[in-house]
Amino acid sequence: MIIHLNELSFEKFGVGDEKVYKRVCDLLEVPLYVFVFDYVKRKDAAEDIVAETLFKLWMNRAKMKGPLHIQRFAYFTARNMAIDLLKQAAHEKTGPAGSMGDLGQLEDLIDETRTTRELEDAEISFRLAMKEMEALMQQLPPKLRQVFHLRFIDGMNVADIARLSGTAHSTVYNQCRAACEKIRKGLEEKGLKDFL
Amino acid sequence: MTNMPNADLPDLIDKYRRQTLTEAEREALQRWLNEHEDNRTYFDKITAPGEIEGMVKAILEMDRGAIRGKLEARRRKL
Repeated sequence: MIIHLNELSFEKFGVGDEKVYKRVCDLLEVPLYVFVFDYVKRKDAAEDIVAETLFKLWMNRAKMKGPLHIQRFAYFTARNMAIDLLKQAAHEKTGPAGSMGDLGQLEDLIDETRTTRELEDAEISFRLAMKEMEALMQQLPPKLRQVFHLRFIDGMNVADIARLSGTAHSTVYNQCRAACEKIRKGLEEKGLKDFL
Repeated sequence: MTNMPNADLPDLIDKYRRQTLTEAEREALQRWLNEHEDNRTYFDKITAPGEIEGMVKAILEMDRGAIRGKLEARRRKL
């Protein structure tokens, strides 16, 4: 279960409370993006799929039976869309009359018996990525570390962080950018070390 | 698939990566690896050099504003 998702007012989500829906989006969009990006390997396509998934979640809000159902629904929806996109790309590559051999691996992806396991693995992977982020975060100055934690670990949006810290949106936005840049540089240095 | 609560696994794998596992934790991780070949496959994938760093990089580069923009555009059409 994604951290904090079970703390939300589920009843309010079901009746379309905007604040709760936005919080669900805050909590789901990063893990969903990581999950989908692993399939499609394209930033724009992953962003499209996450947006469409969150939209479908809104459309189906009244049918959700609990926080875990919300999470599962989102992952299954995103996964199916990612597979559809890969299928479409494979068809474009081979043509409608071409060999279906390239689609063989995709058929494996559709195997329902593997789906639950895959979603569990995705959750573990996301938690590992968060742990790595927390470790990298330690190299940041205190203020940037605090903003980065609120944004990426707690999943808060810029407006809420600005309200909480009593600073302007633009300040929070710039702090997030600066923190990301420092962490990205830290990753590059770590990557270089790994290959030396 | 596994008898270990999934909440423990990220901790164990993270400690494995940082080489800070205790003997008891190493044994727990080994038991989990021996339980099913899928566990080993996943473990090898996630601990491959650059795998987790790649996920972190993807997170840092994602445009949450673009996602929200696309989401709101869809909702406005309702």
